[in-house]
Amino acid sequence: MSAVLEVHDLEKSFGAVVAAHDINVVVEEGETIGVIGANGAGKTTFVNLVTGHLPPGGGTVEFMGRSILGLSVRAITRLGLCRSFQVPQVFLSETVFDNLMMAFGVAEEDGAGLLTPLMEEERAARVEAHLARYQIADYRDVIGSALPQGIRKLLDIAMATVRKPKLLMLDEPTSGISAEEKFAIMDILMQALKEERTTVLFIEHDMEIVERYVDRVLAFYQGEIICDAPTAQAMRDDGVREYVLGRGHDAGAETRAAASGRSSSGEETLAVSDLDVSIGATPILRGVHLSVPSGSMCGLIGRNGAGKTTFMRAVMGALSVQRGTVRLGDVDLAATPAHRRAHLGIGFMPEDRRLVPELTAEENVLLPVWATRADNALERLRWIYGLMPEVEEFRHRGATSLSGGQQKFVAFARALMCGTRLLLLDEPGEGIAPIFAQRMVEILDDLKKEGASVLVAESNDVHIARLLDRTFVIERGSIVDDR
Amino acid sequence: MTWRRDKTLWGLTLGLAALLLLNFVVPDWFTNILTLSLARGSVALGLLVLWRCGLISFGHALYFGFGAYTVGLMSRYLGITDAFLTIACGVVTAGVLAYGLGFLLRQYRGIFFALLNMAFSMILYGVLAKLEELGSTDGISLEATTYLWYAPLGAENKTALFVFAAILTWGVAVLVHLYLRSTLGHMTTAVRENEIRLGYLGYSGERAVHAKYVISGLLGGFGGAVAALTIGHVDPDSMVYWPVSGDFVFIAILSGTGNVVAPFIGALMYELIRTYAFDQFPGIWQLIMGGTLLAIIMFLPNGLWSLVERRRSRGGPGSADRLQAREEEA
Amino acid sequence: MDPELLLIILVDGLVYGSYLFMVAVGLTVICGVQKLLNVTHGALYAFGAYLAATLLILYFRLDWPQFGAFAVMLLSALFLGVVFGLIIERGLLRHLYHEDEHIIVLATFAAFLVLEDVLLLIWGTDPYLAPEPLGLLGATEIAGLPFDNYSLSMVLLSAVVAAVLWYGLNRTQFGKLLLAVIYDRELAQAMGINVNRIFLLTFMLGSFLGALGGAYQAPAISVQPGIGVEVIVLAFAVVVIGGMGSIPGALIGSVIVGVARAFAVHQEPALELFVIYMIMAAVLIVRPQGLFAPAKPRTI
Repeated sequence: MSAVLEVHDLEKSFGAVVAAHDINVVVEEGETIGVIGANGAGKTTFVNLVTGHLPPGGGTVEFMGRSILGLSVRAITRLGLCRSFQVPQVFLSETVFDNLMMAFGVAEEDGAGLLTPLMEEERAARVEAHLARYQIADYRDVIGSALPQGIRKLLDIAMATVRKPKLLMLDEPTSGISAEEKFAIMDILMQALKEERTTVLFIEHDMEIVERYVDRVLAFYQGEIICDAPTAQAMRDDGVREYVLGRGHDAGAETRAAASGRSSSGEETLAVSDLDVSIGATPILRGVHLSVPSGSMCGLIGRNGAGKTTFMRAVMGALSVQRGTVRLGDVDLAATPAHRRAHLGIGFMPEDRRLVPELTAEENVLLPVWATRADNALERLRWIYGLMPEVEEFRHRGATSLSGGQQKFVAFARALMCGTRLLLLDEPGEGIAPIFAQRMVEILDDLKKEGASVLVAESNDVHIARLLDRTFVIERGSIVDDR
Repeated sequence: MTWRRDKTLWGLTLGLAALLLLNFVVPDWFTNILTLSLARGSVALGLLVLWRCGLISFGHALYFGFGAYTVGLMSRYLGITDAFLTIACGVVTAGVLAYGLGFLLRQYRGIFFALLNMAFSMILYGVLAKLEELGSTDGISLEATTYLWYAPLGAENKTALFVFAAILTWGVAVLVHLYLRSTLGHMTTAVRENEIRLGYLGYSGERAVHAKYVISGLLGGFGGAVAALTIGHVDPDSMVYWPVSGDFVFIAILSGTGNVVAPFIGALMYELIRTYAFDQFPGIWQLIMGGTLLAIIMFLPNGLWSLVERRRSRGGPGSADRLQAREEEA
Repeated sequence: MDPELLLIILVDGLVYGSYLFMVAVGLTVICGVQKLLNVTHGALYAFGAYLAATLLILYFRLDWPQFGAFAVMLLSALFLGVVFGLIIERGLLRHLYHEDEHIIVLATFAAFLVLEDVLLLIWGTDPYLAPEPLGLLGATEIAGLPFDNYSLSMVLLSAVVAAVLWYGLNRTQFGKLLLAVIYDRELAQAMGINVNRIFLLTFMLGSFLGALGGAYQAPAISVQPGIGVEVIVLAFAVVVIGGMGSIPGALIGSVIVGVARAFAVHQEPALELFVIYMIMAAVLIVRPQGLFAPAKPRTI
């Protein structure tokens, strides 16, 4: 065995955020390595750094014994280090066959060769063989945008393996694939890769997949590798259990029992049934049922990419509803213009805050009442300041001068301003310092006591479990648990 | 290669034959319209090469004008009137310019690409319109065209030029068609939709755009050179000003990007509508042109060629073609 | 260089720059809010000039107070802004917002061609002259050269328009709602803002400004076919230089282009147009987003 990839002391930061620190990895030929870690732990950044998509801040990267630091994506790919993508990057308006034809053409030609005809019989035969190997021949003439998600994922990976790479990096091969399909697709994939004797490194969230297919695990936490060990050993590792697997995940269960039963009247403020939503041609939500009873606080819990934000945007009218109903009380929201929602009393806090940069904190909070011309605005503002005195303190400061946590509070206050009937909060505790997150929970607690109807989306319910009357767990675009 | 089964090559060749025969039955002024259609069609063909990658230039009058003025200046200062030499020089100078500017333009996409092209074309316009040496706004009149030792005059020259231009354009169209079948030529959706993926397949979007830009520049120069010889005069307002670039984009959208034949059909339609409108309704010819363009944008977004394609896919057995056509219609 | 010449160049540049600003500012307002380049703006300018010239000729036949001429210009621009705003935004652009940006530019180019002929159908090919307002304000001598005050008042008008727009955008409730729409349409909608209505109002405002530019320029020029074609590409250059959608950008861009052109005209007339588009190309190369790109959404 010899080393395919050697990475030493790799560093990268984006502003103040450290995305990679002191990364040391040696990949031996023939290994299958799994990369695990929470959202934002630096897994995809690692792949982007090694493949030349991002310039590293420091360190060395050697591939097959030669330094590839500073080479372009194109050059590194040509050396035989290829990758696939978390969101499949296929050419959406071309057929599966043409996608692979292009991949083979680029892999086999260079310079003047690029001017020779693409469609050759021998090349077509190689494409057909590749289609068969990845078991997507049935979809040969279907264009990319019309493919089922799983097939698109396989096509994405098939395109990455056209060069017969020495090392293949797969970014979440099963994300976006339904739970029923995931093993079938991984079996096809791992079989095909074994035939080509490819060394594989893949990022994965799903521990069932990791335990089943991986020899060795690299666990990332906040840009660092906290564990590098054979799979079984890594699963027992304390750091991995704490920071990756989320040991605290079930801690909420006990308190949850106490919370249930507190739910009030049977009336539903928000009722969503059988909701299908696609972004472009990609189906994101599949048959979602969810309801928020009046005066209750509900949670929509699921990891990144599970469909939480898509759900929120669909309710807010930013995405069109393919199938199903969305109702606010008696109002059919799917038939209501997007901007009417604020007038109806829905307040929305987007995950990424989105404060208008030219305005002050207070002006941002007042935006909805200026638009809806709601009366009793001052009263409401005073109530909000009572709930969040910190916002009153920095109300005259410009939005861009606020810290991330402060911006989050302003976005929250803005949602409260018009959210008299329903509040939709997309990850209020995400991406802010623990002390802010804790404060956020206190505010939610106060809000709950006031009897507001709230739907909170979070990637885990560690902090808010005790507040929730009802929890919907979303996975791969469907509600898998409702408790 | 399947030369014999390539419908486009047959179509081009039949088209050439038809044009050459047509020349015997139509009046002189119509011969001129045909030659100009070939010239403008060539420029639109260059835009097709870019448009397939999602790029539009609002300044291809730059290359059209460059080709035309190369011919004009050769006639005025060097006394060279040979069609072979002047057209070759027009093409080459435009190609060199496109190669140079390409290093810059290949980094831009979308509206910035379109506008930067426009800025460069307006720079050329500014120079041509103001410099006496280059004819300023009056432009330059050309001496009669010669073909090696053959020097026809009057109507005979018009016919000779038409035959010459038709054969050359046939050659150009065949070359572009062959290019479109190559790996680089197929690199269209890849550039338009996903340059990151293209990079991870092992080629860079910028290189692809540069190559395509040079091809479109060469075609622009060719069209300009032929137009200069046809009109016998070059001037900035009718060859380099921004509405000229707009007209090329007009022809490109009228034609659709389906096939190399399309821009020539589109250019002929354009010339016919324009001539007819100008002749019959001189007061509102622009209104008719604008209305046509709006109608195309609203009701035939894939251009005239989509009519041909729709008919073909209705009858043809190719399931893949039909699927794609259906997808495009949706 | 001779300081007097420098002064003349500066004044000339400012006057020309303010003319450019008047036509570019409406374009940049539409560009900023609706994210589209509107070629019909050139036609609005031409319509503004024609309508104002016609009405001014009629007005001066009446024996009414001469300063009413300014009201005539303002009213004709208002009328055009509302009517054309409604026709073009509701009739055309509304159906194209989901299309590619190139297609929208082309559609406005097509509408521009149509409007050019509508103009000819209404007013014919003869030039219209309505120079009376030029004399109303008298003249000033600068560095030994007479400048009519009407041209100088163009600088004042530009300054007023810039100030009013700046105030409206940054200090009024409507302006702040507009800022939210510019920043993020989806968020604006979630906050209850009717984006469709804002688009219509913005387009009317932009069109009004274009027409006002034409109306105010009318007495100073011979109003004849082709003025719209010339103006739109200059306005494009200014908008690109300043940054698409930026009002201060349009202001600075106009001054830069105006002064650079005045320099060329006085020193090396052959370079007049060359200079303008050279600046445009240089800015696109160095800062494609323009000198004053509007604030970008913060992501981290």
